[in-house]
Amino acid sequence: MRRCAFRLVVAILALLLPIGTALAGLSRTDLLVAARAIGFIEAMRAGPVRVGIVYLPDNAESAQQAHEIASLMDTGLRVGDRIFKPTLVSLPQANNANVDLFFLTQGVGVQAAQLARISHVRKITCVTFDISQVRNGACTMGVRTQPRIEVIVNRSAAQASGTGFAAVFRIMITEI
Amino acid sequence: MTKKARHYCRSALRLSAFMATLYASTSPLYAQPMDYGALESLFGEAVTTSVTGSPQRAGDVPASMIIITAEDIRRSGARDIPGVLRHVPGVDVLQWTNDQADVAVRGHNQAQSPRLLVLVDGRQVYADHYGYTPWSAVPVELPDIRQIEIVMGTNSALFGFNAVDGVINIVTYDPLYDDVNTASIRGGTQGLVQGSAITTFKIDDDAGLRISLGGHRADDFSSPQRAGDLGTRRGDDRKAIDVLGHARFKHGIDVSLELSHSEASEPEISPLYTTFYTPYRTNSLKLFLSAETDAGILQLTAYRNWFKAVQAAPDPLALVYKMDNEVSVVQLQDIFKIGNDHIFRISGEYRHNALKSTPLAGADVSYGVLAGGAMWAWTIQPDLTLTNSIRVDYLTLGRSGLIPPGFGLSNSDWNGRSLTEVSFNSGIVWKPDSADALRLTVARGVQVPNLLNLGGLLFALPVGYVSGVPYLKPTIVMNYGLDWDHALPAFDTRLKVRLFYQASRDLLANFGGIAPALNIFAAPTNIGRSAAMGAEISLGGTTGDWRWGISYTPEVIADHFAPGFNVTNALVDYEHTNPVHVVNANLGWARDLWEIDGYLRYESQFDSIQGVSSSTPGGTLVRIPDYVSMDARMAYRMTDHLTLAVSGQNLLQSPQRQTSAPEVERRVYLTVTANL
Repeated sequence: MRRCAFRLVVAILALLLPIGTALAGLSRTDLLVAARAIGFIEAMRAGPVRVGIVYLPDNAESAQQAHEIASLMDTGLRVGDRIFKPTLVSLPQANNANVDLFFLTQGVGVQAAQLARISHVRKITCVTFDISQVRNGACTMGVRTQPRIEVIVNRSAAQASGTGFAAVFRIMITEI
Repeated sequence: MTKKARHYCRSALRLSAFMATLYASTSPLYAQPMDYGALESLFGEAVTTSVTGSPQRAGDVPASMIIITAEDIRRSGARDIPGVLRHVPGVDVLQWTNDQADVAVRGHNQAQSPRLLVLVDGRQVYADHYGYTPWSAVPVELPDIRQIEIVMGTNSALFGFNAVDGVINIVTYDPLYDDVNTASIRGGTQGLVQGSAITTFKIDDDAGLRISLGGHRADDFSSPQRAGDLGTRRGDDRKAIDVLGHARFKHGIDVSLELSHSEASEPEISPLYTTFYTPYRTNSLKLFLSAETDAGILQLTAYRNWFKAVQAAPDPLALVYKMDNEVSVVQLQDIFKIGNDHIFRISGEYRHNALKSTPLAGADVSYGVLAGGAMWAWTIQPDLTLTNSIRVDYLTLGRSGLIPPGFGLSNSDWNGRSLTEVSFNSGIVWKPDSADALRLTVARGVQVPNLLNLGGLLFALPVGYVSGVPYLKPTIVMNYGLDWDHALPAFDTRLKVRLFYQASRDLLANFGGIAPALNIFAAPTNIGRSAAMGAEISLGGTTGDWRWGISYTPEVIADHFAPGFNVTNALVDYEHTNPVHVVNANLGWARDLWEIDGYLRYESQFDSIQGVSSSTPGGTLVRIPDYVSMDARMAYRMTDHLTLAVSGQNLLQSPQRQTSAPEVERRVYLTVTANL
């Protein structure tokens, strides 16, 4: 019932609110790439991984992407020996979310700094498709799949959130 | 088995109590070293360390490189590694006998070619006393292989001496990361019976074991032999076993231990270009340690290879060469990143190579090599990378034991003799857009005379000795390359254009030297220069259920030997023995339960060296007309676990003249593979 209400809200917002940028449709491939990159985080155990999909309820772009990610993950996205279980987390509720990982949606803008503080205090890694949030330090790791697969890690954000990576992985990615 | 019994069983397989205190199983999952599968899945392309020693995506390497995947190997229909390699642009395969082939990269192919370095997981598997690769004796089964990495051109700066024309690194599955359980049996023409079995199992999450077994029995070709070679066809036999254990510990420490043993017997073309029958026996022991530290990824590799072979010709006057060679290698390297834009690799290596003299026994010839190297990869801009590698090798010779009567050299002529050589690799990779990559490479490589050339070869004739000598110069190779890769995503196609120029000086020949003052009638010697220029142009891709490729590799070689040296006395002629035009084409289709693949190869006419006899060094050139050969495979997946395949090589014409050796026959076989 809650999921149905959420979808209705998103649909109404999509009709009513102007969207400044075209929504980039996510695919299962995008999520799989992100999940594989997460697998190189040192403390990421095998088994279930609770993913908090962080969004702004009053931002249509953010809400839409949150819905897309949750929909693609469905009841769980299995990659290797991990299964990623999604939970929708509005940004104001992130501090109390019982999750292993934050997945920041696009469109959050400067308010992502709030998530960064929570991530650093609670030592929970933040991952996103919004590379600008990695460049400004709000999120630790960004993943891009076009034109080719790239993984970008903000070293300061990684250190602040207690996120370590496999050494071989670090050599092969972009660190800023 | 009860839960308690399983628990005790697992514990009993753990390492000692001291090691168990470091064991990672009670700790969070720590960082993993090179998990090829996971990295390939992440980046959507193969990954490698074979160009710079540091992990890289295949599209980013500063060298011409081809990676043959496990799928390529399976769909090749080949029953051995040369059979896979013959489909690769820029790779030349001389199929001398049913089991013996010589492989070269970018020309300069010859009998028992010493210019190509072949490794399995970084351990050299070529016969170090001479530098050639007896492929049957390599203790690897095709289903063991994750990928075959071929570096085209010189790479001495990473791998040391003898990586002058190219490097082939065979990467196998890791029992800690990969789950491979395969058994296959194959039967076919030439009386072939072949089987292999590979299993990996995890002791727990942090320890795994892989066991590989394989073997075959076959007859050689029945095409006519020369009179002097009759008696060498005694059958092809091979058996091999390889055991690899890999364990992961706390603090990012990984340890692996590998043992292998192989035995193989086959008729083969020798450096005299006559036929010998040679049984081989090899053993190896390798230890690998990796640790993630604040100073970077520290890795220690230590291995020892034992190699024995007896090369005998049916000519009653021919000598019997007993090769007894031991190689010990210790390598230490540190890979680290400074900032985001600079990756460094610092390395050190010690190698000791020893051979007992033959056919006249009683002396031991050896050399020790101390090497230091460094690599720096600089990402100047996101689309521009410069990589430089340099290596300095310091080699010292040694000899002890027998000085036969009248021999003009003494052990002191070897002991203390040394040489110091520098090799380097430089490459720029520029990606102006998402579809293009340009590479410019320059490299200097060094081919050191082998131990036979340096004195391991020793026998007496009435007119004097035939002997290796300590005063040979190494061959220096300069390699220049320009590559362009262009992707056509709309057609899922890739165009690759590679241009290269390679110049070798102080080429080595096994014969042609003479030193009357030393009572040496025949000796190896440096004979001059050779230059090769060529291109590899290939286009290939996938379209729905189809995959296809076509390539054209023109290459011209020009020899400039010192006066008096030619194929007759030195048994060397690169210029005329290289086919100028080679075309490869492949077409494959796969859907549901079926896979069908075909491969064509055209080689323009060339000459092939033919030896005089096994007791008389000397050669002539035999014209090989241009020819087309075809390989194919058709497979049907009968169940989720069982596949039936029929495949063949040289299908178009049998027998077919491909070298100066007896003509190559058509080979057809049926393979049943079970994947568990």
